[in-house]
Amino acid sequence: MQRSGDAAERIDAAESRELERNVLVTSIDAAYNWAKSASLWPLTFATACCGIEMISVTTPRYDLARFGSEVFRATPRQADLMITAGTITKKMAPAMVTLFEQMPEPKYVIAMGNCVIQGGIFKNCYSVLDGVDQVLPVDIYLPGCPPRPEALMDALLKLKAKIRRDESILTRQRRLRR
Amino acid sequence: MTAPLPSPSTDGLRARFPAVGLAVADAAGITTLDLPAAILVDLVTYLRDDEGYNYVPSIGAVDYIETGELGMLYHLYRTADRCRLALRVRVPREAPVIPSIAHLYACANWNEREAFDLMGIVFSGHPDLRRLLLPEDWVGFPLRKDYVQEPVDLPCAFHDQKRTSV
Repeated sequence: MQRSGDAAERIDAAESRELERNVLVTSIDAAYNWAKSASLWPLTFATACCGIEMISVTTPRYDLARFGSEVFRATPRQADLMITAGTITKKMAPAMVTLFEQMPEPKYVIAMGNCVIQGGIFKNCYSVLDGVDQVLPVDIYLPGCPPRPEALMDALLKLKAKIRRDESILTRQRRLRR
Repeated sequence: MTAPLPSPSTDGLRARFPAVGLAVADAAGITTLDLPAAILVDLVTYLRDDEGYNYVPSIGAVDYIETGELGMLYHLYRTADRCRLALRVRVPREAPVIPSIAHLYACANWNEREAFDLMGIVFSGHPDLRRLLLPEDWVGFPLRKDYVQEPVDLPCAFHDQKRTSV
């Protein structure tokens, strides 16, 4: 019996190079995680000085938009990322949590600045929430007072790398169904 | 050096309110009056209507813990000739009640609310005396010199909703 398709199945070196340049093989999970990480739209949530640095990072000199954060959304309903930029007082904390609850999943939090990491310069103040991770699940801690705009860019890049390591959809379904 | 602040004439004042103690101008060169709380409203009404003090740059509270008193410091200003006048009122710490001047100067409304919020001075006759800066259910007056920070319950519980998302 003749071995059919022998010549047709073999791929020569030139075709192999062509395929490598034009065909991408991946998994659904990898593609999904990449899509989530490549388009993080932050919420305009700035309470204090770190907010100014957050604004600076959107200006043309530093330009956060080239990393996927094309716009900052004023409504949490359309935002993926909450950058807590600025001191949070005990009076502000319930409002901040309400905003976070209004964000649809998947959502992420970058704690920007010393005040939201552990209280910062206002550590012993009667009215300041010393550490926003007491009320929100934080993904990235960005120290600084304030952190430079390049540091906020680095935090966003680290968050993107973290999102690309997110658990697979199948694992999540099994975990939630249990 | 900037020109010294013009000092207002206090003759009309002295004639009308003999009980008012006139202090020597303090370090900033501002004529300061020390007065009992009872005549505050009459005095401020007279200053606003008859002497023409039309602007209130500053209303602040002071904690005189050494003498067991709380006090208020009012700055009045006259734009006509740029004269500045300061009023000092002291009340005992156990019963700090001062008449409100919110009906004379509208800005005093929030300044008195702030003094109540942070120092605990009660302004009688204030239309809406409640906390301004701290949460409504806060207990204590933080800017008093003998304030001790009690542990405060967090206003909201830890939110773990994100952990269910992918």
